[in-house]
Formats: sequence, C-alpha cells, structure tokens
Amino acid sequence: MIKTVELTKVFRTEEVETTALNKVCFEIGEGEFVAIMGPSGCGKSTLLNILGLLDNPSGGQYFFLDHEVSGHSEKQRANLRKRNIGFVFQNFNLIDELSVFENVELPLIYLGYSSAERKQRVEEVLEQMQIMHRKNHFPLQLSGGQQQRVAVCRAVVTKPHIILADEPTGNLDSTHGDEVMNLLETLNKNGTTIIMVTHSQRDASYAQRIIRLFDGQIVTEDKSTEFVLAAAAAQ
Amino acid sequence: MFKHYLITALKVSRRHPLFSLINFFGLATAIAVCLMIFLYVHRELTFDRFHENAEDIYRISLHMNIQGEVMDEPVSSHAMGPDILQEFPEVIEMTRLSHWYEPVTIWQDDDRYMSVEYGLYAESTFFDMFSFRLLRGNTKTALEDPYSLVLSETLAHELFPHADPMGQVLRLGSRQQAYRITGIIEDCPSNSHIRYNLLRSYPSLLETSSANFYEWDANINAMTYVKLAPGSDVAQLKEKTKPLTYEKVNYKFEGMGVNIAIGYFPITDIRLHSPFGADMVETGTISKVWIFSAVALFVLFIAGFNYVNLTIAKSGKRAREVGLRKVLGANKLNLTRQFYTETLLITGISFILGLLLVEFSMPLFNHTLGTQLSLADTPWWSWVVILFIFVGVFGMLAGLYPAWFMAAFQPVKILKGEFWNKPGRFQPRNLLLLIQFMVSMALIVCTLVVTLQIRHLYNRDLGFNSKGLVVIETDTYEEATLLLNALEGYPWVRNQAAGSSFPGGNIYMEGVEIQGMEPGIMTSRIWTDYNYKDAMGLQMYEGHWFSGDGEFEAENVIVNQAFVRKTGWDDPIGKTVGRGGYEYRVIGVLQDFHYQSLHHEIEPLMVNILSSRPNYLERPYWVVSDYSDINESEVVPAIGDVWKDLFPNKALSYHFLSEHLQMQYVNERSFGRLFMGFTILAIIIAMLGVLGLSSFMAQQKQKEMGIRKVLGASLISILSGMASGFVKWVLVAAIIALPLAYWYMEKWLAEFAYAIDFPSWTLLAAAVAMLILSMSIVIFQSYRAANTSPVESLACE
Repeated sequence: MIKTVELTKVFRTEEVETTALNKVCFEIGEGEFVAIMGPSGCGKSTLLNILGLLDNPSGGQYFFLDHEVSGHSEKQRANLRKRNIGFVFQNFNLIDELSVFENVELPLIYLGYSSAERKQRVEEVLEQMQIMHRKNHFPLQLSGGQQQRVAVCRAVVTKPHIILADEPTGNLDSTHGDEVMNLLETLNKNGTTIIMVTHSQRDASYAQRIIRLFDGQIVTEDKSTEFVLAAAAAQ
Repeated sequence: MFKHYLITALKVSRRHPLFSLINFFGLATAIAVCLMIFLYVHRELTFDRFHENAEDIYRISLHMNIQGEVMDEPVSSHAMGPDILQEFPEVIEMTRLSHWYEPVTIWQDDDRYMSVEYGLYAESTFFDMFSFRLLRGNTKTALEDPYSLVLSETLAHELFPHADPMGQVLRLGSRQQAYRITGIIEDCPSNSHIRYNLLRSYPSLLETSSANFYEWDANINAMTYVKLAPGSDVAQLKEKTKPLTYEKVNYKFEGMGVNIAIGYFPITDIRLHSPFGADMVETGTISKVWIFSAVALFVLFIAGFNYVNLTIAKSGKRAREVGLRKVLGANKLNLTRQFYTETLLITGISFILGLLLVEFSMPLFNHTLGTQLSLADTPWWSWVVILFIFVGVFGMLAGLYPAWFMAAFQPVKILKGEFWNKPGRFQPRNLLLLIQFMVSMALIVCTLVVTLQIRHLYNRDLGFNSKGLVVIETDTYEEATLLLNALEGYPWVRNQAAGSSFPGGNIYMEGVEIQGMEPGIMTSRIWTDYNYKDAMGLQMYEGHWFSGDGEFEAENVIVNQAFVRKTGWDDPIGKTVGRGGYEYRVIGVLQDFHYQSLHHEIEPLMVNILSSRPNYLERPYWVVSDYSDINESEVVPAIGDVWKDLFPNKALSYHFLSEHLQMQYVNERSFGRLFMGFTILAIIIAMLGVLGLSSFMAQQKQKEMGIRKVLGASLISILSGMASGFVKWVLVAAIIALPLAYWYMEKWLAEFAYAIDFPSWTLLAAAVAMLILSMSIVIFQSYRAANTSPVESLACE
C-alpha cells in the first residue's frame, strides 16, 4: 500500500541545511497498524507529512497505492489525499466555529457529497463513535477525549484507506488516551490501515509494527511488544 | 457548498465581534457616503436633462467686448428671440422668460397676502420648448392671454386648499393687478436651472411695462431659449448671427471698439459649465462634482483597505482553519470561494445598513446642500450599477486579495505554526495602511483650508458696516421718503438712508464716457441719498460726499477707487463722467468696498444722488435702516407697525443685510460643511482600521511582550516599541501626501478673487493630528496586552 525508497527530506535556509529524512526505506501493507517512534527532531512528523501527502520529499521515491507520487503537484496530492487519507492530530484541530456535526461533515463537502448523503454518513459515524448526543455542540464545549473522538469521526467519515495519527493521545489523560487508542484499534480491525506517530510506548503497543527513527534514519523496525505477546498468546 | 460557506461566514462574523463591527460600520458608512454623493453627483450631472429635446435647446447669451474688456451675460433683449426665430430656419422654436428677482406679492384679500419667490413671465410657447408638465389647463392657451396665471401645484394647494383654483382670480404685485388662473403646473424639479412658483403670461408683461421690447440694445433682461433642428451646427449658426447682430445693434458702435456677439449656450451645460456671473439659481461647478466624487472614492478605498487589512490581520487566527480545510481536501478554489462569500455577505449586509444610514441622514444632507434628494428618485438602472459596483467590483477587489492570501497558506507550515510573513519582507497591508494615512492627512489639510477660506469670506472687512442693518423694499422714491420720515422718530433708529441698491443687491451696469478715453468704461451705478455713506459706514478716500439731497447735487458724482484705477486718473476730483448726454463732475472718491460678493473683484462704481434717478429705471428703492438698542426679533414687528400705518395695502418686504450677505456664500458654506462631514467620517473609518490592526498586532506580539517583560523591559519601552511601527508609516505618508494636498489646495484657492495665503501650519497640524490619533489608539490597544502577566502571555502561545 505504501512504499518508500530512499526517501529524503532536506530543509534549507540561507545558512543551514538540515536533513530531516535520510534515505528512508520501508513498506506498509494494507490493514497494518504501524507506529513511528523516535526522539524529538528525529523526523517523525516530517515523515508523516510526506506519507500524508501534505509535503513532497526532496529525494527518493514514494509509492502510494502503487503510484509514484513524490513529484505530484499540490493539486494532485490534495485530490489523492481527500479520497484516501484521514488525519488525527495531537491537538485535535477542530474548527471552533463549527459544530461537531459540521466539523465531521467538512471532508464530505469537499468530496462533493449531497446534503442528504452527508447527513446519513455523519450521523452513522457519530453513532458508531457514540458522540451523537453532542452533534450540535461546539468543540470548546467538549472534553479533550470527546474532541479527539470527533476528530477520529472526521478522519473516518470518508472511509479512507489509511489513517495518519500524529500523537493522538498527546493532549489526553490516560483514560481518554486509552479510549482513543481503542477506537483506532477497532478501526484497524475493521480493515483500515493506521500509521501513528507517538512518543508513548504504551500507545505503540497497540501497533503491529514499530518503525524507530533517529536523526532521519530508520534504526530498527520491529513488531510491538504487546503484539508479539498477543501473537504468542494466540498460538 | 454555498450554504456551508454562508453559515461559516456568519459564524466567523459572530466570533470576531470587534472586526465585524469595524467592517460593518466602516463599509456601511462608506457605502452611505458614496450613495449620498452619488445622488448629489447624479443630480448635478442630470441638471436640465429631463427635457425631451434637452440636447437641442440653447439659451441666447450675450458676449460683449468693450475695448478688450469681455462680459458674458446669460440674458438677452426681448427683441432678439423673435428676430432670430424668423431669420434662421434651423431655429425651430423660441420662448422667452422674464424673471424679476424680487418676490411677487399675492393678495388673497385686502388683509391677506403672501410673498412668493420665482414668479416668472413666460411665453405661451413655454410648454412646447420645455417638458414641465401642465397638470391642469391647456398647454397651448394657458399662457396666451394677458393676465393669465399658472400656479405650481404646491402654491395652488396652499392658496386654495379646499377649492378648485382653476378660473379663480388673484391680485399680484404692488399694483394688485388681477390675474385669472388658467393652469396648474407640476412643482419645479430641483434639477432645473429654471425655477418657478408661478408663471404669468408674457403679454401681461407687455401690457404692464413701459420698457422698450423692440430694440436689440434695450431692456436686456429676457431669458430667451431656442430649439434648434436636430443636427444643426451651432458654431455655424453663431457665425450666421453676426451680420444680423451688426444690422440690429453693432453698427451703432462702429469705430468705438465695442462689439456684441450672440451666443447659443446649451441648457444642459448651464449648471456646471456656466461662464455667467449670475443665473436664476446659483450654478454649480464641475470641479465640485469631481471633488465630491474623489471624496466618495477615498472613503470607499479607506473602508475597502480596512476590510482587506483586517481580514489579512485576522487570517492569523484563521490560519489553522485554512490549513485544516486543506488537509481535509479543500483546494484553492474552494477556499477562495469561501472567503469571497464572506466578503459578499459582509458587503451585502453593509450595503443594506448603508441604505438605512442614507435614509436617516438624508434630511440633514438635503438641509446642508439645499436640495431635495431622495433614494426614491434614483432611476432603476443606477441601482443595478450601484449594486454591481459595491457588491460586485468592490466586493471582488476587497475580497479577492484576502481570499487569495489565505488560500495560499501551506498546510504543513500552518500546522507547524509558521504562517506569518517573515520579518523585513514587504507586506501589502503596510501599503494599504500607508495609503489610508495619506488620504486621511490630505483630507485634513483640505478641510482646514476650505474652512479657513470660508471663514475668510465671512469675516473679511467688506469696507462697509453690514451688522445691524435692515433693508426694506419700496416701490417709489416718495414711498421711500415717507418711510424714512416715519422711522426717523424712533429711538432705535440710529441712522437710515435710501438708495437704488445695497451691497449684495442687484445693480445696474452702464457704459460711461470718460474725458480723453474712447469709448469709455463699464461701471456699476447706484443712486443714493445724502445719508447713505454714514448709514452704510462707507469711507471717503478723497474729496467729499454729497452735501445734501437737493437738485444741486444732480450734476455731481462720486466714484470708487476701482473707477479711478480704471480711468487712470491721477487727480480724479473735478474730472467729468458722461452718460446719456449728461455730464457729471467727480466730487469725491469712496474707498473701495465690496458691493458685490467676494467671488468678484471690486469693479468701478459711480454714485449719483437719489433724487436725480431717472424715472425709466422704475422700482425698487431700498431703505436701509441702522438700528440699535433693540433685538433683531423686535425690529421686524416695529417696522411692520410703521409700514402698516403708512401702506396698509402693501406687503412689507425686508431682509437683514448680514443674513443676505451670508446667503452669497451659501454654496461655499454647504460645500465646506459637507466636505468636513465626509472628512470626519473618512478619518473615523481610517482610525477604526488602525484600531483593528493594532488590536491584532497586540495579540500577535503578546508572546514577544511577555518575553521582553521577563527580561526586564518597562511598560513604556514596550508601548513605544509597538507605536514606532505606526510612526514610520505616518511619517512616510506625510512626506507623500502633504505636498500633494498643498499643490491641490493652492490651485483651489486660486479660483477665489480674495483668497487666504496657504496656511502652512495646516500641513504640520495634519501630520501631528494623524500621529496623535493613531498613537493614542495603538497605545490604548497595546496597553492591555502589555499589562498582561508574562506567565499568561507565554502560556497562551
């Protein structure tokens, strides 16, 4: 589903050149749950931005759904992005002026769904995530956990192939954090590919595979502890 | 999708009340100002264009050249029109009007009368020439017979509220001549240079006047209009009229350096391009139309710039939203449409608010300008144009840049918090701010100069005493003498006199012969009694004033300094002035005084003793009474009592001289007031922009302020740091705008015969005022942010 070949990203200013990603190669198959970990400044978010088609790499190749997209224009990337990728952010990134319903509805508007279709899809996903009772509330009237749940609703409402989550529990307490991770796990079990950037070992344990980055390079690629344990238990 | 855009726009407006308020107020005010100016400009530009054949109607004018001295007059003699109609086939219609500038007295019965302005004599072809609608009566016959009378609708209703006016008889004027009402005409449109409240048939004038109506150089007081066949060449007609003019009049002046030329002046140009000194109603100038149009544009620009500036300033707050929308699939077009919808919504609401504002302010606007403008008078097509301009063009211009600006945000950068322009890079909002400061400063200078010039007109030493004088109209010298005698016994009459005119009043112009000069000079002429000099407070320059009212003074004349300058006399006393076969000896020279408005330079004037005034000049005679120890409000009843005793069947017509003189500058005064009003509004709008922008900057720099405070900066140093960003732009604006304002106002002042020297301090005042205003706002806005605890300001980032 996703394949990178010597993916490189270099940031240049007048005086300094910083290599954020240095010839990164990996593959992620359909239905996988992958966590990307590493210390601050190791290139996690840069990698996620490129994987999410928000940014282009400086070098290397990026295959998204078997198509090489590293040279795509913003317009082409936006087109692919809105049809295939859902985003969940650490700080939720809901639009304060819009209600829960309207926030979740937004991606469907840009995909050109009719009003009736939008209503049906949004209510479906709000029911599914058990936040329907808050549909007319505004983000600032919700708890952090509820806000992230709405963000997840917004990420899945278009039924994307892949969800990219950037520190999804970073702003939540452990109870709400677990709640969100359970949601992501359920989505993954239902077939959605999930790539998550995290600092938290606990969150990473939900993933089937962990990619560890250091100074823009992959240092290890392993199965998560919990996944190994669970797999062993299953045997 | 549009619904979503609309809902978002409404929610965004609600979420940022200060910005929304500034935008709505600024745009609505600008739109209201523009609409009012549009109504005014529309009225000025459509003056006299409502006549069906307006483009083919011309007024005959006289172009007199007397030894190189040129005079243009909007009037002609009564004899010219019929001859021209008869002689030239391209002249297909002709009509004459005669307008006596004094009000007409209408007698309802012996005790009841009213004075009505604009009572014209009009020929029966009046309705063929013009498109004024006759509501009742027959257009062919209403003005045909002597003593026929057509009343305006309002006047008819006033005189006969419960009866049918048609066929009724009214007595008019001091002679109480009976007129039969033969028609009711629509009230005079306000955009007509012809004004009427009543029309008397032209044959009535012929019957009641002993003046000469059949010579080209006699009785030059008709307004003669001709309609030319479509496609006629006016220049050619003017050329063709020359031989006729020679045959009728110019042959008399051969070899004297005098020439009269007939002109055909388009009636559609009378309002704004009139070269004539006086007309039936005060004429406007095209420059005033341009100035107001420029003010409207300035105000609209300022409000538009505010909108653009504030929206861009606000974009920081919305950057996250923009980034998110992009992440969720919005493309540039989606976002541009969204922000453009917001602009349209705000412009649309502002437009409605603007309309309401116009509706509320219209009475004040009309009062100031002396007009009867109304939104309802605007033709339907102009609404389409107005809507297109405001909501379409303006909305697009003001909306497109912010829309483009925000739609271009890079989502990755926004999500990282890097959406602000880098320091040092040129920012368009600074340019907009600069232009706002420039326009505001230029407007402040213009307003100050206009106000000072108008004050100068009011306060200039006119060379006579205008305060405490009441001027009363009488029909004959005998009446004037009777009134003077009757008033003499009253203790509040300090001084009084009689004359054929008074400063600011109508005045005769005559050509006079001067010893040793061919053909002489044109001079104004008045006849006064012995007391006139003292009653008016005139000063002698040399020689002496009349020594009495007796016949022995009939051969003497007093001239003014301008007269002496014109003749080039070194020693004027004893010189002779010839007129109509008589010779007058100069016995004194008056110091120049402004017997005409300050629009005119002081021209030559000669004064004869009133008792020698020729009979053919008829009425009126003016009694000037200098009152003291009595209030203005008490003078009129007191004089009224005296008048009633003397002339029980005559209406008292009077005015206070100072008020009459002020009326001469009513145009300048209303212009000045409006200009000041619009300038204040423009500055308020501009300052609201500064308020919004500084509020945004204070928020943006809250973290910086926090850090500075942690590092030990004082409140004053933080505030001065904030203010310095604006000071720079005020100074740059001053350098560009003030020389432009100086250049333009110098040009404007040059149009006045008596102008102030350009007051240089106004340039400094404008810069300082702008500096103080903007600094106060910036400091006020920043104070709150700078006072916030650094813990809070750093946490909020």
